[in-house]
Amino acid sequence: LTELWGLQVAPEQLSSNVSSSETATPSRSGAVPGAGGTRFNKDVLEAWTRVREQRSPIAQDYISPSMKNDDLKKDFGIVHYRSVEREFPREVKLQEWEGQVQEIGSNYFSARLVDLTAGEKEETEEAELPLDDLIESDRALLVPGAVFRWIIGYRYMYGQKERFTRIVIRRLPMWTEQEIRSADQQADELHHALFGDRSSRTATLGSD
Amino acid sequence: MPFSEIAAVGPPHSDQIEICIFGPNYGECIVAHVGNGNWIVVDSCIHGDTKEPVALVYLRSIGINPATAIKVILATHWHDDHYRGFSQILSAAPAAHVWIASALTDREFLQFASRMGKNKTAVAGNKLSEFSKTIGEIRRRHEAGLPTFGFASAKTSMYRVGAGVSGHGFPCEILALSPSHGDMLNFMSRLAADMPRSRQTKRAVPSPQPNHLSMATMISVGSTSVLLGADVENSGTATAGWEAILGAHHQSALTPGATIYKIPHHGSQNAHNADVWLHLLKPNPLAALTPWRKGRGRLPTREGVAEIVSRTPFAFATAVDARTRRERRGRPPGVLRSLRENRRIKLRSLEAPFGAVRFRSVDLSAGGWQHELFGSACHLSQYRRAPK
Repeated sequence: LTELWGLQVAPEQLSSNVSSSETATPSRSGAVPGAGGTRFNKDVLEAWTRVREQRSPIAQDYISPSMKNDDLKKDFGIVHYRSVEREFPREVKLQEWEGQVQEIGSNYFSARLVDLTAGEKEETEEAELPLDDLIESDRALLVPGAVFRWIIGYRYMYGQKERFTRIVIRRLPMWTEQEIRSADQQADELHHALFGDRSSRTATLGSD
Repeated sequence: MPFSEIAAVGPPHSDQIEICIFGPNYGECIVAHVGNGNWIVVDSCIHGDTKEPVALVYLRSIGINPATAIKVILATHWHDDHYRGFSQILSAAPAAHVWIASALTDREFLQFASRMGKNKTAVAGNKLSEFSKTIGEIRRRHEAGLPTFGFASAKTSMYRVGAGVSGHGFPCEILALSPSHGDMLNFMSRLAADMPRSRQTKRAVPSPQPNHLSMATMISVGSTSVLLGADVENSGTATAGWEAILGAHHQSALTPGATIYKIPHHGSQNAHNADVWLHLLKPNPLAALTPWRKGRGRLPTREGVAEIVSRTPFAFATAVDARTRRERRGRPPGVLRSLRENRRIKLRSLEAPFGAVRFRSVDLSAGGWQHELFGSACHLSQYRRAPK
């Protein structure tokens, strides 16, 4: 016998041969954000629930009220954890740039920057930024010509205020067939407007 | 007022030739008076204070009306350090002849520009938007029946006036020395590789190197000539780059030897060609370059400066090698603290010190010239800081 949560449980009861009807499924009501379903042997769970209810009223806190509803008996096998309140940080953006990657070195990358906070549309600054400041998943996206956002701001969390710097490489869309066709059509129209059907342009327009 | 210092002398006399070269560490523009109140503008960059094209600011500051005075506008190539504000100059000079490299109107390049124009993902837009505006203006002129534009390649004559109306008694001609046929093939080959295709991720225009398709020009006034090297580089083959220009010169002389040389490609070593100094220039010419910086890339290099100053004692740069790390005023203290605390972050303003080198003829028949330095322009030997 193995002791599990204060119960003496036979090894076969801990086995993973859980039938499909006993398989945990996402709860259909009272779902708790962040809670995960866990597979348990039905007998163990029943016994554990029973014992915990008898032994300690505090244990009730750890069982979702939904467990007491008869209609949820079908969900037997699901353990509902009480939601953990998450405190999402509040951020205040002080400065934001859009950058275009120019060059990638061994431990830095350089970029031309547009100051979005100042409402600019042209590149007015350039920066060298450490590669370490990128999250790993963004490293593969770092190629010359890639576009990114660089933000400096304050983050409020757990009563603390801290400064942060974040660089996020933008996941840019792909060219579509339609865009390419449309662009080529415009280019052909322009070429035709300037040169007509002539293949040679040398005898056309120009100086006096 | 911008250019108050440079404007103090006033405009050149009718019989004077003037070559004024502007360069703010990223960008280049040349404004030239070819006599009798006729001006040409080669490339464009933006003045840091006014955000207007330097050429227009300068001409207005010396009392010249761009609308009537500018006769020719040249775009040597489409890189944004030579093209910013170009379409504004076109709008300001509706009667001026506009010249661009012929390959830039090939169907393939128009497709490239049109496809890139569909990329709206970046606030800064794409580097071809200025070119697209230029082509739009050329189309507008064409449809209005104004044949005031042309497409140049090697040996295209872009401007010609006779001695009688030139203002100085000498015939004047502006000749394109490039791009050669080989330059165009190289350019098209590069273009095919960079052409956006469906199901490819959108991105900014790729780094535009090398400088295929740059248009070098020669301004000839009687026996005096000025060589504007644009961003032409050595190609390693006889059919492209400086090698092709020199080959054409050996077949029939393009110049008796230029007195003034706009050093090509910001003084890079790959643009330095000893045969150009030997065959296309007079000994000890007046020479000027515009510095360039982008990320860690900086031109001219120390070696490039040494090459040039060994060829002529009259070499100048339009701006000093300023390592600006200016933090913009008005930013919240929290931002400034973050930038100061993370020493590995290096933030620089692109608004570098601005300067100009101006050459004016004193006596054309004798080949006499004077030079003036404005703003942060300096003698090239003083350009680089001493090594630490």
